Amino acid sequence: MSSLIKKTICVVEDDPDISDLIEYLLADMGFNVTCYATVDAFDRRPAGTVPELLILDIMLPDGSGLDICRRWKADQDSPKIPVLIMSAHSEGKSLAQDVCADDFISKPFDINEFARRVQLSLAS
Amino acid sequence: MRDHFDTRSRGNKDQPATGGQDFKDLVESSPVAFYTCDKNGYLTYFNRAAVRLWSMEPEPGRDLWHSPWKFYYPDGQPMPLDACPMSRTLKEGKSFEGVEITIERSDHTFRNLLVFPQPLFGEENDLIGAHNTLVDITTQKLGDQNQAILTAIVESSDDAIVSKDLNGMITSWNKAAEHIFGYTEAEVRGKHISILIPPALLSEEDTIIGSIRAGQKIDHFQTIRRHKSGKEIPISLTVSPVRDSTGKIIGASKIARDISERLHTEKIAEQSVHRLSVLNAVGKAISEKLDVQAILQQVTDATTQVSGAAFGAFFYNKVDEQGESYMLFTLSGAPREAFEKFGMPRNTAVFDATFSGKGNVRVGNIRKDPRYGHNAPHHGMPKGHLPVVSYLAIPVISASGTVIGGLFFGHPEPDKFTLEHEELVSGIAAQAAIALDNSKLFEEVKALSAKKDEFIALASHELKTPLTSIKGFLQVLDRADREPTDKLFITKALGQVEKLNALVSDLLDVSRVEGGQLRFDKVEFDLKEAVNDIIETLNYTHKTHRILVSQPEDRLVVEADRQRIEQVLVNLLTNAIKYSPKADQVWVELEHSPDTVTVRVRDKGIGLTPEQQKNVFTRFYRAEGTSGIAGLGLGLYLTKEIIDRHGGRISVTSTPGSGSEFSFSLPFTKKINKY
Repeated sequence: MSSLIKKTICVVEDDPDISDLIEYLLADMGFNVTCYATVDAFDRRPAGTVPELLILDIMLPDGSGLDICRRWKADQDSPKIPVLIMSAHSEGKSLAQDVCADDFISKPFDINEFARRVQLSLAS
Repeated sequence: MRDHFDTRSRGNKDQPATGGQDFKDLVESSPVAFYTCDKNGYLTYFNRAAVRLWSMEPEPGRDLWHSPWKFYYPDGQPMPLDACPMSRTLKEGKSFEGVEITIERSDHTFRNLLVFPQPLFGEENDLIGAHNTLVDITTQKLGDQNQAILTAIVESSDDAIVSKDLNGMITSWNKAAEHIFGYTEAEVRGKHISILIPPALLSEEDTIIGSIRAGQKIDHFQTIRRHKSGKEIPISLTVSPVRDSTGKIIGASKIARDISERLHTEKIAEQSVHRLSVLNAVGKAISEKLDVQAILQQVTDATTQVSGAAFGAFFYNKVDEQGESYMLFTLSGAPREAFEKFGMPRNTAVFDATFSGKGNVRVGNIRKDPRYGHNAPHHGMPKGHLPVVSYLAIPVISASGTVIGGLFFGHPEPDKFTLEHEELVSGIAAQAAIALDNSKLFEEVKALSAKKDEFIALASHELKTPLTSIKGFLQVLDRADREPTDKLFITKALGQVEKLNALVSDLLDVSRVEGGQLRFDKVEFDLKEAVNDIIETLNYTHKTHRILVSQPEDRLVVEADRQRIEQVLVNLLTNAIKYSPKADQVWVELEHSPDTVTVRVRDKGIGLTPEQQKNVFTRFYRAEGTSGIAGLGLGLYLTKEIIDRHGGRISVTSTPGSGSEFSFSLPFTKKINKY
């Protein structure tokens, strides 16, 4: 990445391997990545870091990425940043639309497609 | 021959033949039969009326007076010849005046006669013969008989037969009229017919008399007449004009039939027809429905109707923790609030009989029943309870013998429910029990099926999670420069991941189709573009076959779930490739009509038998002889579901050994847009 200040992307994904994969891919693309495995962990994230993009899994051990998205979009104080939802859920796309997510990618995904979606989301 | 009539033969020479020839003619043409015979009975003279009576022409001097006849007494007993008045006249010289006899003639017809035989004496006062006058009274006798028969018929009829003159005055009155209307003949003869007519219907008589005067008969006119006691009776009237011998109308005969019995029978018949139709409707409804609430409501309504109850209810046999309440389920003829005020019906002595399976309870007045009124705090129906006096309760018992619940009926008047009602309701209750059993099974199956769908959804999600990381890491590996063998192996592994993913997706889709949860995200897109994209991908991933396409120049815009339609295309094309292992080409044709766009996928593969073609869209169906080819038998099932739910059609034509063609059509949502 040419930019000196790395953009931060926040990922909420409970599967450690997928989390690792995403972290690896995004880091490779030159982003700062912070990963959380639960809704609770995401909620208790340290204040200060403002992400440029949220990537949320739907099915989480203590809740749903959809709820995080809904809350984020409804909260006036939340930074206006894109939210990308990913899931192995077959109805994921329409569920993501219901909570006003900016994009959706279904699992399993093609890593090149994943990278493209991330870039697209950030560009919008 | 008639010359034998000789007045002189009377042996009265002092008296000249009165009138001579004139007198002879008079006798000759008299309508009364007359003959003379000698003392031995040989005929000496007979007139024309006698010939008619004999129905033959005897030979004078040779035929005896009695020769063509047999004789009978008026009561039908045979009369010996010796006993005949004429025989006695000839033998005894006696004369007879108007003795009645019956003769049987040679043609076996009978005549009733009054005979007047007189002896003829000679100059020495010796008997020289006799003459006889025979008056034929057959017609009068017959008339008398007919009259007697008619009278007997009229008297023995169950219908009132009354005659009246044109002023409406009663002239005759039979036994049945006495019975039906209560008046004796003496009481009504000469009275006006209006004594039988209820005041409100008096104008009917004018209409009837009007018709009679006009010579018209009134047939089976149903009306009401009044009994002597004032009671009104439904009758059917037939009134005919009575004419005298000149044809003039002089009155009316009136036949009145008491139809109260018939009306009653008709009413019963009508009721049974109604009941049958209710039974039929309820039978149909409960065999078609699987929804418990709907079945019970139908059963409650129908049974309330056929039993004539003011209100009916079905209670489920459910006991709460205190061993008391029954859950109210459905009501008919009363609002739900009528019961809700009192909480649930309680486990009282009255209800217990039904719920413990002691059979039907039918009581004329439940308030007088020994089981009634023993339970605190109300000791009977609480204030404001529906006014139940007549009470009928039928348990609904399942095939396993358990009491599912009970049907309860009430009426505010006593003795409303009959054995027939009880049997009718029992019949419906038995049907309802079967329907409820089925519905319970159905509910259980539905619950199991829902659990299965839930499991498949969860399983597919769980399967896809490892697939995601496998695929991701393989792709990461694939990025780096590698030995060609490594590259090949990674590509192969990725291919298998895709296959596994597709199978998992299909499994999930099937469970969604079954659960009715397959959702479509419809957008407008160019089907031609979608087809070309898929072909491009498949040509890249399936190197064994070339996919050749022929298509029109027009854009083929449809409104559909693009991902699902792509799934259909991939299914059909990969099938075409998979099932034509010896071929190296697959064909796709796109065509359109004004309303639809059709995609045909053709291969020169192993093909399908007609039997296989019939089943190929069935879930889990795999054509025989395909065991070497991988698959779960879900692809075409899903393909058909997707096309069906887009309002399209899918079909297959195939020849075993030479290939198959699958084609599907989708409706256009927009006119074809030219580039």
